[in-house]
Amino acid sequence: MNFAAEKKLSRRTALLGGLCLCCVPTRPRAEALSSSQPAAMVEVSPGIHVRQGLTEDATAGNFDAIANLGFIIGRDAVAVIDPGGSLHDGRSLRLAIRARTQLPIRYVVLSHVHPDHVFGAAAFKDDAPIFVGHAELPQQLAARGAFYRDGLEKILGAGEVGEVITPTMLVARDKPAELDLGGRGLVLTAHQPAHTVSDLSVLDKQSGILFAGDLLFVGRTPSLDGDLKGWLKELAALRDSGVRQTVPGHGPPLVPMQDAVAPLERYFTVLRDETRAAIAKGTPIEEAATTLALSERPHWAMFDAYNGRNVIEAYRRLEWE
Amino acid sequence: MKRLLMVALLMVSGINYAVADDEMAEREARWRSVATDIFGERAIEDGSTLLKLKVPEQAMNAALVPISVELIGDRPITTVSVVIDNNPMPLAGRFKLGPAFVRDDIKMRVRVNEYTLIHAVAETDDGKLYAVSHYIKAAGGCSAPDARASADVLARMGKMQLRRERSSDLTQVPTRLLISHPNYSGMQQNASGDYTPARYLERVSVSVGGAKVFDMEGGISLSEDPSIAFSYVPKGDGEVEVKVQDSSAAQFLQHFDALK
Ligand SMILES: [Zn+2]
Ligand SMILES: [Zn+2]
Repeated sequence: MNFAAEKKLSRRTALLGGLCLCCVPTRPRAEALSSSQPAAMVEVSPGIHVRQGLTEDATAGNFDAIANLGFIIGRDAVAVIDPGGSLHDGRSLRLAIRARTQLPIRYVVLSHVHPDHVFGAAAFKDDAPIFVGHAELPQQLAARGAFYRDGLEKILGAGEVGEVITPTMLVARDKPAELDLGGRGLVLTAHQPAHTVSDLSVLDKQSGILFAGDLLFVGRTPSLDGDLKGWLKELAALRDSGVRQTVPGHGPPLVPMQDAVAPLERYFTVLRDETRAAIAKGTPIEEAATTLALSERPHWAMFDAYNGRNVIEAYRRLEWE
Repeated sequence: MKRLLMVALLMVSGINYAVADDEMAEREARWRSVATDIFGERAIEDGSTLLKLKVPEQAMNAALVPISVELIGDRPITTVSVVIDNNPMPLAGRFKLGPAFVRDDIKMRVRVNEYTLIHAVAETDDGKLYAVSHYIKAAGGCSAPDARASADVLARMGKMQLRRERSSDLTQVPTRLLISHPNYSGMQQNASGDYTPARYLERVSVSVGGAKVFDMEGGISLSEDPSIAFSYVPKGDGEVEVKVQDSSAAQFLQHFDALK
């Protein structure tokens, strides 16, 4: 089913039930679990299915289904690119796969360390796939996995967060790897520190579509957790990569590369330049956090929740550049 | 009554969880016990005529919370302490003030591990203690792992910067001291999943032309790459000397020319 149609349907259903969509985000957890529904997918290109994440932070009502998830179906096998933000999220992605194909799920790619992208991995354990990640990901998961899990369990409940799964197939920065789904090759690239230090992207050779993970945020304020200058470099590389269409980590299921890259380059350039100027002027960090990059505010959802933190992150790094 | 409040834990990851707000009685009991540990049985009076404590209501990053203590009025103050009651090591910094210290703001960046009262405590020259406090909603600041493998922080450990403002009359110099140091809390997991042992700034001494600005006793509650802002009285051509010792007995010494 077409994604937009499905969304319209659920909206109408909700309205018919006398409920306003904007105020019913919290479903009773037990009921939702027992009725795990296949995730709403959109087929952005033959065999490439994407579930658009919500523009929200994790809540008990949304099962941390806030990141874009996807899978690619080849002749012999399926690859998952980001299994989801919770067990529930992963299960519903798995149901969506099984509604379309019975081929084995051979690979589960983890695009980076963040919880909204990795905690659905446990839902795929029974499929015995190869879990794939950036060469830095195992260390990052060791350092942060338990911390993220504790935090997410406080929101979703103890049984809802999947265990931390460490990838066994690792991709080194200087050595792209290739996966074969049977006549369909995927190229994995491990990036330099940018959004995080563990960013991995996936290029489907057949369609030329790139799963960029959180290297690309479209519409939602990006969160800086790696290296501001490094991220700008990676954005320039993506801009010049020749890739025309991409699945961002957050935002619409498929966007032209230029449309995704340009706003991010603009935002991070403003953030970098204004932060450098503030440091040079001696503007205190607490003042910088509430006054910098505000020209970007109209362009991004959830700006007030993330921009100040990005300023602090940029400030404390650029102080030592 | 307990209320649920949202706290920005790790905004990078879409995780904001609700923590139970503790009760007034609990906060007071905690402060009494922490204060006894640090100051013994000495009486502590209201300090609102001596100190003003500025703390954000809600932290954007619990591992880097900028706070400031303003010294007001004119009663001679010998020591200023910053205490984060609910942190595993509550004393964040104790400043013994010297003759070259200008009675103005002290600013620092701290970690906040759970919702807590933060106290600023002044000791006056007659040996009396005065405190003010502020509540803050932040959590996870001591256990939050560093984004980078800390390799770059370790590589520049001990490097310092002195960022100084040129005030119009040069009778006092607003200054920010930056010390590169991971200031490991002992609660951060590392790349092998183990806890990195605590390693923090124990002592920071600043003097100018031989006159003391302050001696600070630190702790794990200081943020990574600690930052301390203060103002000093310049002593002619006398250079600024900063001496740092961490809990692994590493010493760092740096001199900065007088501001011309
Ligand atoms: Zn994400
Ligand atoms: Zn992310």
